[in-house]
Amino acid sequence: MAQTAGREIALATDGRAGAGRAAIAHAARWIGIAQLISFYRYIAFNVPRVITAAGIVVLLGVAAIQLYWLVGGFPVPAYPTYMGVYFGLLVAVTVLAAGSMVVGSQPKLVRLGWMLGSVVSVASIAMYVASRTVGLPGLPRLVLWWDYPLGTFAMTLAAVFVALHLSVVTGMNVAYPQRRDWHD
Amino acid sequence: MVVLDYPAWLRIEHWVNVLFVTLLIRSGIEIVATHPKLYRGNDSRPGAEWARFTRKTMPTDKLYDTLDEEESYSSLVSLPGHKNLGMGRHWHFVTVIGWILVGIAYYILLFATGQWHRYVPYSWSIFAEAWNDILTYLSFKLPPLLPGEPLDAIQKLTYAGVIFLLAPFQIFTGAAQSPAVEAHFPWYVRLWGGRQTARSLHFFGLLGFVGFIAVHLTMIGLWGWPQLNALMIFGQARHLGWALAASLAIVAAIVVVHIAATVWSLKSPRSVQRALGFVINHGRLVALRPMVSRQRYPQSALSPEHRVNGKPPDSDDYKVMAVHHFVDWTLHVGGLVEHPMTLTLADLRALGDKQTQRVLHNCVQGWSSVGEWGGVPLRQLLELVKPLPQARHICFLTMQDAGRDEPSAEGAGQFYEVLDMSLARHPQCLLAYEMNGAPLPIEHGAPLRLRIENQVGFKMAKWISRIEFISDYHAIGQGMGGWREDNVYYDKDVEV
Repeated sequence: MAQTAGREIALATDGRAGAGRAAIAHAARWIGIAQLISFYRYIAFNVPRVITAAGIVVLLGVAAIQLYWLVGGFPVPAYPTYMGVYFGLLVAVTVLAAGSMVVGSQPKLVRLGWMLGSVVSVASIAMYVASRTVGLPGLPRLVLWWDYPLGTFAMTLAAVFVALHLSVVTGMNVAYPQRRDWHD
Repeated sequence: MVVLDYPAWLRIEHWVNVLFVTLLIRSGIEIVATHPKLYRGNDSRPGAEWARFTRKTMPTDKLYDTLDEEESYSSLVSLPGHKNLGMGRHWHFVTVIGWILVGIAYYILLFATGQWHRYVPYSWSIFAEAWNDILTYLSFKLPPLLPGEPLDAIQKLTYAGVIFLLAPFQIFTGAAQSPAVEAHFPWYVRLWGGRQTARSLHFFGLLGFVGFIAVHLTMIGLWGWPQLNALMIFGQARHLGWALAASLAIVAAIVVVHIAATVWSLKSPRSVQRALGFVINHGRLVALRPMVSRQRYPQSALSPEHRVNGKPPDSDDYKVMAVHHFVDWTLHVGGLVEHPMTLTLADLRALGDKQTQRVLHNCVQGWSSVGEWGGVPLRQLLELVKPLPQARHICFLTMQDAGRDEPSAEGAGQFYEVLDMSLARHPQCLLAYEMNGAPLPIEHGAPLRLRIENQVGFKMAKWISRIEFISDYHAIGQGMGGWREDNVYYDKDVEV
């Protein structure tokens, strides 16, 4: 008898808990929590040329700044040799990445270009942040030197490129030569 | 020189503006949800959109219509959410009226009190100063304020842009989406690059406001929230604690208004339709009703594809008529007329010279296309049947049964729409039996549909079987002036 009563109480509790869970699930559906969390999946653009052009402009902007630093515009004139190599490498790879993003006949090359662009963008942000925080060998003056608009601008451009690439990877955007296959 | 302080009217308008802009954004998103796709030009050809805000894909092997494409968004982002275009339109339009009135008052007070100096640049040097300000912000520092002014140069230019460019831009691109404005001033639609371009630009304007709000709040945080907040509450940087409490109370009140509007709309849409519709319709009838369509789009402007809202009658009678090219179909015209009549399609064609018109079609959902319609002007029918003096409206009854034919519909029953007599005499008010030079296709209303070009598409009843002249429509259906008005709470008069 006691066991039966216990089972009934347990069932009743389960029932209440089930009803509670159902109510929460219903409320979550009504509020649209799943929609909000996955909002980016509700957004899709079909402007591949605009995205590619924007990506290239941003990337070439990063390259131009690195080039400016390479040819003497760097705030610390006598920078170590490895920084010169770094700037040169960054400019070369960035221009290469931007160039491969327009080779429409080779979609794999285009994807590689975007990937390369993101790698150099992240690398440039990481180097900039490292130079202002932990410091780079031979460049102690840069530590905590955030008061440098061109550097902030270069970081912003690099971040914009990574965001653009992410939007392509997540499907929010498509890049040239891709097109949406929308029939409706 | 005027002291550029924070007078009471400026503070009040600021907070009222917060309410209106947030209501406009949420209700605007509700309107986008009903056709969550953006295009260029005048067309809305399937697959031609440059952006979509939906995860739905439509079937390729069966007929679908634009009702199937509607999205249901969360109430957290749209007003009221959950696929309520009728409610979203009511809130958007009533808020627009309030926003424009507040904006006009704001402009007048700005220039009457000399406070315009805070926003309007009057020296080219401000651009150089603004550039310096940008560099300063990029240095993670705050630039100096302009001498004797509450803002720095880039802030001043930004506020000027939002107040004198972005806000009017939204109103003008909104107006470019009104069928009455488009019908009366076709050049105005061209000015914006087409109806769908105007809709896309309106969307960019929304993004502009969202971006401005984000930057504005960031700036307030950087420059000192307590002091600036107190300026916008008391007009002076004093009693910071009380100012914070007051601003939180105002924000809470704005949130309460949003919640109340949402709950009211979802629980009692009919009362929202009546209350807000009362305000909107008066404004609409005064400002937009006089706009008569005078569209003459060139042949080259015809849209390659014309979307469909609503599915054809799925009855045996209709199918049999369709198979026989509607030779058995008859149109009954009666009610408050001197000469009731029954007409066949051949009779209608024989009524007189066919009138054709190439015009822009505006669906209530936001899509559009240019089509050529051929038929008999309604005023010609009026001359034949001679409405009695007490006839004030015309009720178009159709062969569509929404419950049977339209699974996506929010209601059931025979589809009908009521038109005011004043619209019936418009030169481009047409009973159309042709589209693009061919017999009217089934999905577009064969054998007969209405065209009234200064109204939104749903008023142009398709698959018409009966026309009744009436003195009052409140006893028909649920008494709101049409099936859509009854069931999805649209307005009866839809010049916008």
